[in-house]
Amino acid sequence: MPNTSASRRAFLQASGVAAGAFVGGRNVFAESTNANPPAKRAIVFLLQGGCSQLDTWDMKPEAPAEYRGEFDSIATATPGYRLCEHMPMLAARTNQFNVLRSVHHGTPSHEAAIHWVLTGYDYPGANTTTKNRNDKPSVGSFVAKVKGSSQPGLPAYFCVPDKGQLGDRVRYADSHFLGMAYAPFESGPVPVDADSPYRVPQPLVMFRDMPVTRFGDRQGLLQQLDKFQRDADATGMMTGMDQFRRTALDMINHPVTQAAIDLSQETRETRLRFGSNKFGQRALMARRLAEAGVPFTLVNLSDNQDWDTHTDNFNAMKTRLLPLLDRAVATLLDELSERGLLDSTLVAVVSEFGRTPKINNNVGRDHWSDVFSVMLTGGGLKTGQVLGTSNARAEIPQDRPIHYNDVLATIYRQLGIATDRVFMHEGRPVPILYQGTPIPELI
Amino acid sequence: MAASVSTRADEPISFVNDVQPILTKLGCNQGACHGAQYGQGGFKLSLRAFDDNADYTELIRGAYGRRIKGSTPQESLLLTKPLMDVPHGGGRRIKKDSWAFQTLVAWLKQNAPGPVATDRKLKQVVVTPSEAILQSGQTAQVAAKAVYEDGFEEPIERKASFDSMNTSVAEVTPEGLVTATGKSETVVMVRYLGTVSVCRIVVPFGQSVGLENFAKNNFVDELWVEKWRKTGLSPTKNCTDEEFFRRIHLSTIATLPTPDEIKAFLADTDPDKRNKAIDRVLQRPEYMDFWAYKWGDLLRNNRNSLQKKGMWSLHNWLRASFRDNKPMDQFATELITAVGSPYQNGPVNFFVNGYQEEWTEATAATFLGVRVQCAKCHHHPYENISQADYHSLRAFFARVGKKSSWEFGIQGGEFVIYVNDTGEVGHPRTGAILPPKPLGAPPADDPVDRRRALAAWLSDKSNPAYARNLANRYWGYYFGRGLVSPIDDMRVTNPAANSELLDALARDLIAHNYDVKHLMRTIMRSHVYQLSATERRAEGVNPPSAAANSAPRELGGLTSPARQDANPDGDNRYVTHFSPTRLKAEQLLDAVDFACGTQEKFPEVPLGFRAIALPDSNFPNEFLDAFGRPRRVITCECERSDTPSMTQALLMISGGLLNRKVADSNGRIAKLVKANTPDDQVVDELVLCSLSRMPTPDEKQAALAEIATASSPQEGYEDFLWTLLNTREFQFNH
Repeated sequence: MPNTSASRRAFLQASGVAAGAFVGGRNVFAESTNANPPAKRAIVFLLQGGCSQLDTWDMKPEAPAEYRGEFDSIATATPGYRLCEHMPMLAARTNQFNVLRSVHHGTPSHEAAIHWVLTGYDYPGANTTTKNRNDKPSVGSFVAKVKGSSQPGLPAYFCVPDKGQLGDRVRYADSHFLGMAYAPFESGPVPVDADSPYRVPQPLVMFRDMPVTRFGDRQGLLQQLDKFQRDADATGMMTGMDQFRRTALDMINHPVTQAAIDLSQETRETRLRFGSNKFGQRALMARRLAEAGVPFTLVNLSDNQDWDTHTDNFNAMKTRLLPLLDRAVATLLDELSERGLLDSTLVAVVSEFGRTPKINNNVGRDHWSDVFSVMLTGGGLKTGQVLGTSNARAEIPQDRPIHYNDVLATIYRQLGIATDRVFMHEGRPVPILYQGTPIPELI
Repeated sequence: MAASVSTRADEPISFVNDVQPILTKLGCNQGACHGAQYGQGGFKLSLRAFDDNADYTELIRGAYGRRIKGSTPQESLLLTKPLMDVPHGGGRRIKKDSWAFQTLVAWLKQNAPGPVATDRKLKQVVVTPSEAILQSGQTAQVAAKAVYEDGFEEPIERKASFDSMNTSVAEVTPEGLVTATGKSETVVMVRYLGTVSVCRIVVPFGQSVGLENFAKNNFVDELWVEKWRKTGLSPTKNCTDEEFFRRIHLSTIATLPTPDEIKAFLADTDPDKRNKAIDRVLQRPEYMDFWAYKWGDLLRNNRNSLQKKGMWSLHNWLRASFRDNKPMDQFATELITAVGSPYQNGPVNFFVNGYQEEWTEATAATFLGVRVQCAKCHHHPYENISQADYHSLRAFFARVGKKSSWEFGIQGGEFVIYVNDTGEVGHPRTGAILPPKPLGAPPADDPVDRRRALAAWLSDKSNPAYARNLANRYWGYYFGRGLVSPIDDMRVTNPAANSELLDALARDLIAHNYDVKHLMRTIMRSHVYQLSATERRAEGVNPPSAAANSAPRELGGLTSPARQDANPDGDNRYVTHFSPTRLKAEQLLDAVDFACGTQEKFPEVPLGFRAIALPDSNFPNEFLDAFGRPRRVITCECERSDTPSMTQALLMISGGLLNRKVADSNGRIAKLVKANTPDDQVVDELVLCSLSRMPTPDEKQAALAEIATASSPQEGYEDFLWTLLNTREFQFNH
């Protein structure tokens, strides 16, 4: 290598030829996908711990006090539909989204419910010690597998802040048999308020801020020395590693991902608009990822079972949870529409399950999976509908029961992914979803 | 098809032996249709007809009797649906003039008799030929004959189902006419009444060259030469001494050779030096660490399910077993018949996870390489394993229990695995008591502990099943791909790339009393193992053109035609060259440490504990997790992921671990700098300790140029070592 600048130039020229996984305009990681689906991407908010349906989307003002709880309901943009008083911003926007109030999956344990919500599959006996890895690929991994990345150096599946749930003990947002290539890219800890800085995950930054020239030297030298024949490997492994290496170098040399997740590029005003708290900053991160073109973003709106309000439900909901959720999601919808992205970005707010209609002795509510509510909009869906009802005490679905898998089937459909597509795992066929049909009222 | 309904026109049509095979052949009872767990459209059949009585009831009594019409057979839904005379979700499956249709009509006309005790029992299906060598485009008829226990024989091409296991090699019609469509080898599976038999189809790749000159070191080479002759393939040239030396170290002890060892080996002029090196490497102490780690994966050694004490106890037993080179039949027997405290007797931990079903499945997978899970609920679709076979195997474990015991532990209260006096296994459908019976063998029992009978069957010198599985596993460990692939999916319908070799290796292993080091030595001594990894072209075959040969193949899927000609067996099933295998997570981390002269410190164990010596996966380490270290919760080689990922790429390029190790203040480079080593010697040593060879003149020039322009020699060395560690050559065993 004669001199530094020459080697760096040589490298950059070489890397411009085949950027990332994109070869001849074709993304070689992606499998076939339906042409031109209505949604180009999806953002799913997970209310981890399980959010009470009665204190949010499915108010029961007529129910006895021990069910109804202490919150009042307020009118919304949809005549006749009322939301919790602590969700005023969403109440003003109900014409922009849909609420499904009769969703059920029947799994009241955290672990199994998280697995179900993130994969569409039951996982009997799921727990944090022996069964704490996915038993089926998560939705985001299937999306990454089928759709692939939208541009070089940008992962197809993001988890904000990371793929952990249940206080990081369970990781059901993973890729399972689809392989590490379809595991989520994690944004890492997001600022907890509008003023804190964001630290880009370590591997995206060159170690100890190595000077660009020195890093260029290394890449140039590597190009020269890495002569071992790639096609000597029959498994395609070397080729696969090369692709990842090129993408990794892309991520460092052409930092689209760093840019996408760098919240410091937002004004303080915008960061405040989403809410100076962890939910708001995560929603803002999701908006930036949608703008960058990430096909699937899972946002965990909880760090450690925040929504698991077995005790003191009402204080927690009205101070720490609902106002934050209200502002974060409402602002996300506003900013996506302002940018013309809402039509092509599906947004969902899902919960592990609902909570017991009857208030317990600790002024809390326990796990309840027979009925809960889901918010769904964008990505070409019709809007302004309130689908299904629960019975008078929000215990079971009454009209139009909706299985949770129908929600996933709707998301997959809008993204252009056929859910009957089968992948082989250990000699057995596994469809993307084994049950669930898109909700006809929404499409 | 002939109009005559059956070869025995005057005999009644049998539901079990005529109707059911037809329903299977037409696909009615396949998993995607009525054989699904809840059937389709309210009509449920057992998957591929494993339950005759239930299917008969469903046909006769289900749907208010509309499926069968005795008075007007042709109006039965059984016929109108598959004819598409009425709407049918499965589409049109049958034609009116077909033999199958005529048989069903005849059966209905005979008032649809059900299963009876006098139904003929199938003895075997004879498929001829057992092997056919076809040229691409050629056809051949596969004949199938059923032989029943009463001596009756009949041709069954019209009743049996024919499937090609690889349609890109050969296709087969429903009546068994095979057409070669591509090159390579596959089997046509013939399924009839719950049995599967195969006809092997070989479509040669071309003409072999130079086989007569191929040096045969042992029987492995002789059997490969025969196979290459048959498949029309040719081996490439021998690997270099450097490649050989690195290869045996990584394959056998997951440890890179030191620069001094390499230099000494290269300088050695003894013509037998390769065999001597093999013997030396088999005696190295790292051997027990590496194989305890390999088998720890397979036996799912982890503290989450075994507790820390159980995990160490199993780990120490594994280390001792490999240190002593314990015969593998004894190894299996100790595991299968273990009793007592899992904290004090390592192999007892085999029984700590799960109960009878898990033990049955783990035993089949670990010692036979057979996946029996399918047969828990229904007949195995690709193997002669019935539900009764599964539960008869389970019967060996019917008397194994777990209980807490005050005899063990410092304050008592530990639990033990013990053997009960009673306990039986019933067939899940019929409830019949099933005697313990190994797969494909007569029942076997033992008055004290049934598992002894199972262990005795596994170790029986006339039973090659376990030895075949071991031979296949170790072949797979050495070549990156089992003779049967996947490595733990041994079944009739998944034939070995070289079955004669697999049988011979198994015989040889048994003859040497299950000495696994003998097996490893045999593999490593073979010329086949010592073939080049970088040169895929057969010796004596000219490259198509210099340009085509040097042009890099772009990416997966886009194979260059020139390359295909040079080596038609793209998967390298027939090992005409050595397939590079990627270093596993622990091997890679150890190799990085070795090259950098550093040592990763793991919690709870002293400094100096290498990654391959760790007893389980519960030593937090981002690098090992990212590179696919398994959690050890399933008995499958597939649990260890070797798929490349973004995180891995980032860890190698910008990650702290690698960059820190390269620049470690006590590392190899720091020491070389301290000793004022001249640049060119530093370059030699860095290449030797990472790629296990001397640098080429070009490499040396590039490295020296890089070092000369770096802001300090140390930085230059670091950049060079970083680069070496990021090369494919370093990250693969080749």
